[in-house]
Amino acid sequence: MSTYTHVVEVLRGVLSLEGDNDKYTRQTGLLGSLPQFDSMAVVSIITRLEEEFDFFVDDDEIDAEVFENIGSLVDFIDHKLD
Amino acid sequence: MIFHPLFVPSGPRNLFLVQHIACDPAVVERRVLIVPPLFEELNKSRRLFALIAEKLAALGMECVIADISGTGDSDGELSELVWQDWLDDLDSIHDWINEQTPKVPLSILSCRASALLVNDWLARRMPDIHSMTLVQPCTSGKTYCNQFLRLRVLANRFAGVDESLADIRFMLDEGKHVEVAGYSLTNQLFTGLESIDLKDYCQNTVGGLDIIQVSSGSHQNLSPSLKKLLDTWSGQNRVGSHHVDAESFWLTQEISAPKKVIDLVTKTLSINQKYNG
Repeated sequence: MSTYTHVVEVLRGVLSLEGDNDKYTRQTGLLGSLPQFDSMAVVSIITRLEEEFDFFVDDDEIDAEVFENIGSLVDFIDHKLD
Repeated sequence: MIFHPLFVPSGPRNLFLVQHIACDPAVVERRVLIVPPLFEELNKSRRLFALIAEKLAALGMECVIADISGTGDSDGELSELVWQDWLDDLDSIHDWINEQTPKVPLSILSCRASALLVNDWLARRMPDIHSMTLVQPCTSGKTYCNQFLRLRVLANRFAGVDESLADIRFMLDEGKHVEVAGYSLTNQLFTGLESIDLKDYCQNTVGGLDIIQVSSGSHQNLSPSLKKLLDTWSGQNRVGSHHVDAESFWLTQEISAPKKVIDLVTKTLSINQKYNG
């Protein structure tokens, strides 16, 4: 499974997003775009991603740019996995 | 169906339990103790575990859902507890269950961080347990605690306050109370939780162990951490792993009780009750 698909499924699972994966793209906005995407959502998503991908996210890696859209989040994870 | 809320003493505190039983206690053949997740995840998953308990009772099992000290409707303040208190709570609950229906095999259902507590209790106190089912278990206490403290880091950051994980840890190490997401904690409880890594525990139970992964998507692959746990435990016991395509009910903003999770958990426990090694 690609990182992109995996991330979309995590987002759908945590945020209870409607529709199937095809509804979302790399350009789909997250922080500031989805009303349910608050600080608690950020923590929840990071937690799930850590468990799914088996890495740890340091404090200083978490900034608003990472959560701008699905593409920026996918790129962040791919960078962590490299 | 009997729905019986009650309080059971544990040292100086009273613990809130809910007993679900659908028939004469004298003919119950299997019992299940549910130890729910901790902190906010407990609130998110209460409905799910109530529905699981009802379904188990309808299948003829006695089911007890327990709030340990400082959680739910039980006595105690988290900031005044030590790890030993939670281990003692599980002893008290176990003793009460045995007084009600002695010699009836008991299975334990844990979820998320309660899996850490349950496994430490089983290793230290060695109660007689028939089988164990773990729903989306946190495998590392250290990882779970860091993730929990992160709630405060990010809440502060969004409010314009600069505080790091290291800053919070320093306060805990100095013996201070630290508030995280509305929960007041000290190191006395935290270090106990943090010290546990499930890979270091493998319980020998007649009925075996079952790990249930809950994640969205049709893929059947276990996450890396659960796969490592399964590999470690498989050498020492009968271990089953299962995946259910459902949302993360312990995290979702709206309360969620996925039917698929209820069905899989009850099916797993029903199968376990028939397994006698």
